[in-house]
Amino acid sequence: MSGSTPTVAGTDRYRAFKAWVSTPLTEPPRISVVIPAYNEEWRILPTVGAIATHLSARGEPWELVVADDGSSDSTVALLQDLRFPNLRVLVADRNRGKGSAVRRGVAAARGRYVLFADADQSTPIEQFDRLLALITDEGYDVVVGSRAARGAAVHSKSLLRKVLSRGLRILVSAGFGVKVADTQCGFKLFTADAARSLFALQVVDGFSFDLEVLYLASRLGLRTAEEPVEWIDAPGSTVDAAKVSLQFLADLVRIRLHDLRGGYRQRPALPASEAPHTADAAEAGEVADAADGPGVPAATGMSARPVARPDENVTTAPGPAARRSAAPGAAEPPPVPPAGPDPAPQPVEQSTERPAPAPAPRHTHGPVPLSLSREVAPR
Amino acid sequence: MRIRIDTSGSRASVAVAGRFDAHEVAEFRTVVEPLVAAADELRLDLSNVVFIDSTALAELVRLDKATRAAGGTLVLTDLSDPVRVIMEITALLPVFTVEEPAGAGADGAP
Repeated sequence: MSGSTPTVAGTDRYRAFKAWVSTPLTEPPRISVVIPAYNEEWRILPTVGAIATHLSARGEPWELVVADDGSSDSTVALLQDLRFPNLRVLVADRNRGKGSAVRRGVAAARGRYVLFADADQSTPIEQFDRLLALITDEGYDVVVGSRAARGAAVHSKSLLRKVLSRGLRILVSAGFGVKVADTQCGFKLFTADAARSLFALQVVDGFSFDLEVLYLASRLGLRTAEEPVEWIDAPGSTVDAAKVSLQFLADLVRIRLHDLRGGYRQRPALPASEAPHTADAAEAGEVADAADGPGVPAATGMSARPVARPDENVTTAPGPAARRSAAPGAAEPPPVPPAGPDPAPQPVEQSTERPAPAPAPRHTHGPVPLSLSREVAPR
Repeated sequence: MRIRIDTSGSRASVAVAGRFDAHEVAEFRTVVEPLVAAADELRLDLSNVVFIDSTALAELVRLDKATRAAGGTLVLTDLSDPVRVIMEITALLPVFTVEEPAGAGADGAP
């Protein structure tokens, strides 16, 4: 199936959404969407709504996995109260970082394709279709949403963030041989095999996990494409750009040292007594199965380890059987007032519309097995 | 985001298109606020809104209260699917007067 053509269009999207929130999947999902969430009570529900509307309209089985990162606000309660049968909430007992949350989400994901998307909908979900088409139609393993690729449209990004991003890009390219221009955009799509291979190896718990994953993708010889996206800075971010950048620099050193010490070749055992625990027996099995993930290509000399780490205590929201079949917020609209006659309108138009991204050449990154400095030429 | 205003007698119709988020709320308020006192019925067409965030939802709640306080009515018309879903899961749909398009189903679906 092509990734670019939703099979349900127009206002039928609402009915598709209602079906998704009322009927548990009867087959494995084709797509898993993983959202890491830390104190996102102000933003998470609109994001879930937008994603659910778009993915449901595609007319294929999909699931949503929200990996809480030890939120101290009402993020988890808001999500659990939705009682959507195809939404799983992975609850963490404490805050460990975005990388940790995404790793747990990927471990629990069951889809053939795994999208990691930020909780603030800063990259509109409608762009998912283009990323998926690159995997299904062109055979990529990883497709990275990019704010730096030619044709991307970036709105409301502060000057400080722009300067820091540019500086870090230069460092990443020179120091790591990662040619992806935007390693940090929170919108990345993986095949299930690629996702599990990568997240089985990565160790960074914080924001720099993106860089580590792309570094490993290069090392594993995975085909990686960079797709320009529209991106809108979401106000209210709790991220301190300068602080995160310093942490990013420290993580660069850590990743390099970890690699030099052979850390990405290790396969630590996961004692059964330390395996992640879940609130639902069936879902505990799911997590354990996912942690077994496919192996890493032998030619790379790298090894996969279980995805969920021993110190990551995780619980999941109650299973579908315990959930109601409809959202509590699915209230009937109030009575409709009759529409009266409407004399000739006097249009006044005001526009602050942002320009759509222009078509542009895609940045592609081919296999680079065991080489940090060689890039395959673009297609 | 694009905002289009049609006025006719005591009724004002405002059509919003694009992404309605925190970046757009100030502009929206500047354009719509003068209509609150001037119109008995303020109709807000959201059929072309692709995403609405919490700040914009809060602005709609504020606008609804301001309109009522001025003796008027705010009517949301033609909700796009994303807007309908987001208002539903935030439990805000019952807060507003929503006018369904002709042919709407019993469940409120268009």
